[in-house]
Amino acid sequence: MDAQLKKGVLELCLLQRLSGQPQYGYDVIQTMRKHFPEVTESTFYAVLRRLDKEGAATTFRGEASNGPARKYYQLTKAGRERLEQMRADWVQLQGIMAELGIVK
Amino acid sequence: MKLQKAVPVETEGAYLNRLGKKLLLFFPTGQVLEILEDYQEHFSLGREQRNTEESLIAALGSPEDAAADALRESGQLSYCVRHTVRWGILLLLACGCLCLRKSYIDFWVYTGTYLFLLLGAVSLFILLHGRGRAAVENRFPSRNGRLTAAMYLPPLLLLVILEALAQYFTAAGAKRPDFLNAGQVGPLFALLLDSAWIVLALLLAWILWKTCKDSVRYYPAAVCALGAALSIWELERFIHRMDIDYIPQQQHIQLAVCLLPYGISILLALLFWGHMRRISGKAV
Repeated sequence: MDAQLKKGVLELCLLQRLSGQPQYGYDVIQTMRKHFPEVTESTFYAVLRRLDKEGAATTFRGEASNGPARKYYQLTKAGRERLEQMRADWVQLQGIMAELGIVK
Repeated sequence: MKLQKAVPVETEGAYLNRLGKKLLLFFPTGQVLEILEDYQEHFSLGREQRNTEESLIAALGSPEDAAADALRESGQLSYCVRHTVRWGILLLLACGCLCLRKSYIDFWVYTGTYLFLLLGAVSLFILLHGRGRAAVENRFPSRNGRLTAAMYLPPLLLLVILEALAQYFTAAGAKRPDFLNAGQVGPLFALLLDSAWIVLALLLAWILWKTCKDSVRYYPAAVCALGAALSIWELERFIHRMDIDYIPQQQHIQLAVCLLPYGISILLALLFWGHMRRISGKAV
């Protein structure tokens, strides 16, 4: 996939994944890898870290039932707004693509 | 752009160590350790789910790519650039002062040597990310940072030989054997000094290369080699000033004073060694 296109798509997908229950990075990334097998896990971690830094997501240490404390990711209010914005953009883009006959 | 490195990484420790060293070029130490902790957690979770280290590493991609991804997503200017500019200027200043010090008045000649040796050594240490590397090596050891006598012995031996010869010729004075007249002592010394310079320059380059590539634990050896070079320089300057056939009193004390830069560099090396030991909290 084209790098420029991928950047936005991965962000949107990660935002969507984090919009529900708080999850730890490892789980989020394993699910994402099923859909994007050619993207390395490091790339997802880098995007997650950026979301955290930009305030779209927060992290906290949560106790796991077995093993050491894990780092959980959760979407913030700003993150939800960004998700809605990106979703709207995507729907609009999809409409344009359909009109132009690029996608059915 | 993806960076391709042919060298494969087999274990978690090696992966984290290499990633850490790459990341130190792009981020401050605190951020690097945070990122590495995320990766460490990833490895421990992966192992819990019965993945092998090989498959985990394959899924993560190479450390070089991972570091490049982290930098791209952070959208920052590489930390290395800012860092190098800041400390590189200080290092250049120290080197420049060291080269120009011939024009100083006598009092500053020696004091200057020590001050600039200190300034240069400290800024080079910071430039090489000494603290960050020591911190990363402590948490994620590479297991190839061995201390070698080969780095410490040549400067010491060279200095001892040159100093002993200089002391001998000045002490013997007119009583030295006939076959060693003034016309022969000069070229002999020049030859010895020149070979000492070449050996020290090669050694210093090798140690600095090892420091950058393998482990910051080699750094004190570089300081020692630099101190030895300065001492030999002092010795050379002293011998040039000296009249070989008329040797006044107390030359041996002045010749011994030439060893001071080396002594200072040993003290500095011990300080760096102790500092790294404290950061890493175990034997270096």
